[in-house]
Amino acid sequence: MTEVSRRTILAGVAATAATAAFTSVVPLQALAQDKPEVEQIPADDLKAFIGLSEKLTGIPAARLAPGLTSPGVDPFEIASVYFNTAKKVHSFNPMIQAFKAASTDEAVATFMKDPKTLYLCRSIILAWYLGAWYVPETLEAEAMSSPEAKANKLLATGKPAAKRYNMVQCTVISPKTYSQGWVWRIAQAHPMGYANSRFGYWSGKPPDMKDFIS
Amino acid sequence: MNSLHRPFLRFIATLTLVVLFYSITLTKGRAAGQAGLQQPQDFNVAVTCPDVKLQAINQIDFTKILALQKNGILGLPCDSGFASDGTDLTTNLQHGFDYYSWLTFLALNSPASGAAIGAGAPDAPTVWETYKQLPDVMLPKGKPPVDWVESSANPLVGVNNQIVPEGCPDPKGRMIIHMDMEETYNEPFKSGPLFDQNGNYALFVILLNEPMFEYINHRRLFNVEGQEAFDSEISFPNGTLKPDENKKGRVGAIMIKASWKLMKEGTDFGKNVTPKYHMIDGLLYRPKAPEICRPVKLGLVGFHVGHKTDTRQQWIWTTFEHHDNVPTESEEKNGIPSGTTFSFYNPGCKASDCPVNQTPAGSWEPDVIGWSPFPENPKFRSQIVRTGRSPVFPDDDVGRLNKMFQAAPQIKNTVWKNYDLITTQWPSGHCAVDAHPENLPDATCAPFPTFLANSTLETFSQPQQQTEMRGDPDAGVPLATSSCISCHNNATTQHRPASRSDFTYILEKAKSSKLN
Repeated sequence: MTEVSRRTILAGVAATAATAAFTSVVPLQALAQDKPEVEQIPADDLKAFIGLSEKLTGIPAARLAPGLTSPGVDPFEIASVYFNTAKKVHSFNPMIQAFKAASTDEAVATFMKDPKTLYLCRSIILAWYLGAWYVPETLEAEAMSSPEAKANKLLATGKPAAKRYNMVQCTVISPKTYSQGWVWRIAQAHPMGYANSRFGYWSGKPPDMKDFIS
Repeated sequence: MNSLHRPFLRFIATLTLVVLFYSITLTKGRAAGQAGLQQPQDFNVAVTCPDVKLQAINQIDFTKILALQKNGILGLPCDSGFASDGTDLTTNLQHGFDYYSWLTFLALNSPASGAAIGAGAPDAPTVWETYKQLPDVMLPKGKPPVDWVESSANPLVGVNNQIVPEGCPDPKGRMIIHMDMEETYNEPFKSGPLFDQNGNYALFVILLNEPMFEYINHRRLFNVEGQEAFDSEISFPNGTLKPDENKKGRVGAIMIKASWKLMKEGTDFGKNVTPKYHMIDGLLYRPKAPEICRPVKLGLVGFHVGHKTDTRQQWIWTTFEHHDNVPTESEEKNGIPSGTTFSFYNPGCKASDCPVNQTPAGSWEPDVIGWSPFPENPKFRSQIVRTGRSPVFPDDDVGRLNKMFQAAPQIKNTVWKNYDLITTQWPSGHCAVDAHPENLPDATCAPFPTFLANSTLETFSQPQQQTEMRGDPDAGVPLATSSCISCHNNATTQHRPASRSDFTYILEKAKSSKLN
C-alpha cells in the first residue's frame, strides 16, 4: 500500500511538473466560453478550502489567505479565485464538505486514496504554486500512461530528441494568479514581466528568503 | 609701561572671549543648518492633527466632522485611522481609509480663505489651488523655482506664485493650463487624450503642497544637475499623528492631479443655470495657437490625492470623480434612463458607431489636429464606461459613505455633493511603516485594492470589463492595468543613472541647466 503523505502528494505533483518541462498553455480566450460568475463563496467553505490547501501545499493558511483565519490583510484574494476554478470539478464540493466535517491529515489521506479526488488535490497544489490550472483528468491520464506510451508520444512530435518535451496542458487562470504563484517566492525570483522590487534592485543585495515568504 | 600693558591685556582677553563665543555660536548654527538640510521633516508643516479614527460606518459623527471642518484645511488628516478589533481587517481598514479620503477631500477643497467647505461660492478658490503647479517647479533650463507664498497672505492669489508665460496677461488668480506640456492633455504613458461630448480635451494639472515643494527646492532636485549632486535617498516628508513637544503632528507631502472639463456658458454656468461643478477661471496657454493665452471656465471632473504618511510609506492614494462623468458597466448593461447625460459618454450612440473606451485615431496634439475650444464639428468624442471591480466590496460600503457625506449639512446644498469617492488604495503589508525598506521583493507592499483607475485620468488602463473576469474579482493585468502604487513604484529621477524618486514622477520632469 502506498504511504499517503504530503511527501507522496508532492512527489506525484513533481513527477507531473518535471515531465512538463514545457507546458502547453491553453490560450486565455479559450476560456471565454466558460466564464464562472463571481458569486459570494460561503465563508465556511472558503475556510475549509484554505485549511485543505494548507495541508496539501505545506504553506500555512495564514500565508495563503491572510485575514481569513487570523488577523491579517489579503490584498490579492487569490484563494477565492482558486476556489471558483476548482469548484467546476464535480468532486470538489463533496471533498470540501467532507473536510469541513473532519479537517485532519487522515481525511486528506482518504482523498489521496480516491482517484476521484487524488488528481483534484494535485490540481489544487499546482494552482497555488504555479498559478495555472491543470485539469484533474489530464493529470490522471499523464500519471496512468505507461513509459512506452510517453515515449511514443514524444516520438510522434517528430522533433529531434533534444527538443522533445512532454506536453501537459494547463491554463494560466488569470494575470494575477500568474504573478502570485508560490514557486516564484520559493525560488526567490519573480515571473517574467512582473517585478515589484524598487528601481535599482538589481544593484543591491538580494532579499532574504524570509522576505519572500512572509 | 605696566600701566599700558594691563588694559591692553584685558582688551585682548575680552576680544578673545568674544571671538570664541561667536565662533562657537556660528559653528553650532551652521551644523544645525547642515543637519537640518538632511532632515526631511524640516519643511513639514506642524498642525494639530484631527482625529480620524473610524470604528464603524454607522458611527460617523457629522457634528464632529462639522467641528473639524470649521476651519477648512485644519480638518486635513495627518494620517489614516481605522478600527482595530482584529476581525475582517481588510474591510475595516478600507472603511478607515475611505473615511480618511473624504476628510481629505473636504479639507483640500475648502476655500483658500480658511472657511469651511461649502461656505463659499462654487468657484471659490480652494486650498489645493494655491499649491504649486508642476510647470512652476520644473522650469526650463533647470532654473530654480520662485519661493512659496503663504496663501493666507492673499487667499485669492490662486496657484502659488505662478510664472506667467510670454504672451499671457497677469493671471489675477486664474490657473494657467500649460498645453505646451503633453501631460496636460495626454494620459499617463501616452495612453491617449480624453475628449468630452463637446469635442474638448479633458485637461490635467499636477500640484504639490508646501512640504513637498520645499523638499525639492531646498535639495535642488528641480534640475538634473541638482539630482546628480544629491547623494542621499529621496524620501519626502511624512504626515504623522505622533505629537512633537508642542503636541503637534505633521502634514507631510501631498501631490494632487486634477482633471478639468471646459465649461459651456448657458449649459454649465450662467444665468438661470444651477452649477453642478466646482469651477475656476483658467488661462489656456498654447504658444502656437492664434490666441496664445485664452480665458476659459473649467469644471472639476476628477481629483487624485497622493499623501505620504508615517504608517503608509508607499503613500495613500485617493480618487474622486464627478457623478456625471461616465456610466458604470452595470449601468450601461441595465439601460440608462432616458434624458441622462454624461460628460464622456453618449447614451444615444450605438456601440458600432461609438466603440467604448477607445482612443481617437491619428495625432493627438491639439496644434496638429487644429483643435479650438468648442469646435463646431468635433472630430472625436470619447465614449467611456467605468470598468472593473465596482464597488470594491459587495456591501458597497463606499457607496453608502458617499451618500452619507453628500447628505451632510455642509455639503448637500453645494456642488460638492456631486463628487463621488471611487475608492482609496493603500499599502497593506507590514513594510508600509518601514521608512527604509531596503530591497524587498515587493516594494509596493501589497496595495489594496489591486487596481484603481479614475475614468478621466486613467481612462484607457482601467481594469477589464466584467465579462472577462473568470472568477477573479480583480480583472486586470498587473503592471499594465492602472494601480497607483504599482505604477508610481517605478518612478525615478531624470538624471542618469537614475535613482528612485519616492513614488513621484514629478522629478522625472527636471530639465538640465547645462543644455541650451
